[in-house]
Amino acid sequence: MTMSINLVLLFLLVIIAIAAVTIKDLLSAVILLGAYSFLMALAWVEMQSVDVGFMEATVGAGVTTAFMIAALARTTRWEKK
Amino acid sequence: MNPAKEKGSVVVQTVSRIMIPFIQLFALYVIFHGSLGPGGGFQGGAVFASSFILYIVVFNIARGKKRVPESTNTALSSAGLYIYAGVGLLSMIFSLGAAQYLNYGFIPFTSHFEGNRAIGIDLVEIGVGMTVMAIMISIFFDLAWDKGKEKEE
Amino acid sequence: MKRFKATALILVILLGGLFIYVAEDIPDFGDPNAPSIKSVKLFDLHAGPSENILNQGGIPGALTSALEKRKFPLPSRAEKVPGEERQWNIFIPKNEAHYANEEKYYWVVKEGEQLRIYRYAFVVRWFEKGLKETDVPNMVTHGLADYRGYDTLGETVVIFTAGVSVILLLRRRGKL
Repeated sequence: MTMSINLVLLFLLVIIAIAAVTIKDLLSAVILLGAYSFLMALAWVEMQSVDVGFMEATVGAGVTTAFMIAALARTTRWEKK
Repeated sequence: MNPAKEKGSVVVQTVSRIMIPFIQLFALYVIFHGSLGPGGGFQGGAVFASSFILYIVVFNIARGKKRVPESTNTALSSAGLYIYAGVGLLSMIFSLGAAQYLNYGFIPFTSHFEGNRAIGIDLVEIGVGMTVMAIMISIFFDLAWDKGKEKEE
Repeated sequence: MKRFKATALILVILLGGLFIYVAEDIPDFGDPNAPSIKSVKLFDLHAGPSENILNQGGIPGALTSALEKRKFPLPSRAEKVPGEERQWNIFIPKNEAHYANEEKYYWVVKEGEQLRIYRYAFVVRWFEKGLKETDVPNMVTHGLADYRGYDTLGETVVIFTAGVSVILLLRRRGKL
């Protein structure tokens, strides 16, 4: 049971990480990184380290996404070829 | 630049005006219950900072700067560090140099050595939370793009 | 450029193979008796008659001299591990250099004719005594803020430095 949850989480993590690296729209990449952080927080909680999961959810999915969007507002949205 | 002139969505403003106090209450809960359950100074400070970031995003930067002035941010960030270092120093002072730095057990809050350590841990967490909150708000202020200000330059 | 890519591919495959090989040794999550968490192996000794001495709570002379030669803290008394044959906890006396009270420090196992000497890892003390010593139920919090207080102080200083450098680099004008 837990093994299958772990496998699904890790599989989604790899897919989201590859998508965040390859996508051309930087705003989407930032949002995908937020989703990555949230899934990572779920994985931490599943591994019974609630403190680290809490840290990942607040800092990784919350504050870092806001910082990156704020930084993105000063540059362009689309990656240049 | 007149703050009252720039208007956002009424729904978002009303909802966040209701939600922000509860987010801050939860942040304080996380900081003060860091010794009993999951959480601690860093997480609570990040949640507290994200409530202010929500305020800045929903309303505008000028109103945010009025609510959380930059001078307060700078003062709070160093004050948290001073609390941490000061608690460590207090333990040396109260034991007349016998205890090590950051050995909270020798500060006479209560009559028990272990209880002193628990209260020392709580104080330290408050210091960490203050520093993290102030630094994150200050970084967001510096990163955020203020349209009116850019035009002036 | 192509040579770099091939080299990178080979390195990544080697690294992945190394990770898979190492993953065999990772203990189960949350197992406090896993070897890498519980103890650090120090050295072996020839057993001889020392089993009887250890059973009576004394310390064999060979063990004391071996510890003294390697500059480890000297032992004071031995005690059987509850529920285990041929395993002993060895304590160090009061007012050792870093410990105010008497502490359980070494772990001796007899296998065949050899005495294996281990030193308990810090995690054991953390598991067994953390709640009693600090009155804080959350293990992570009393580890971060009390046992590893210098670490957290340094971490806070790092965050403070990051904020100050962002202020210095990005804030063009206005009051500090």
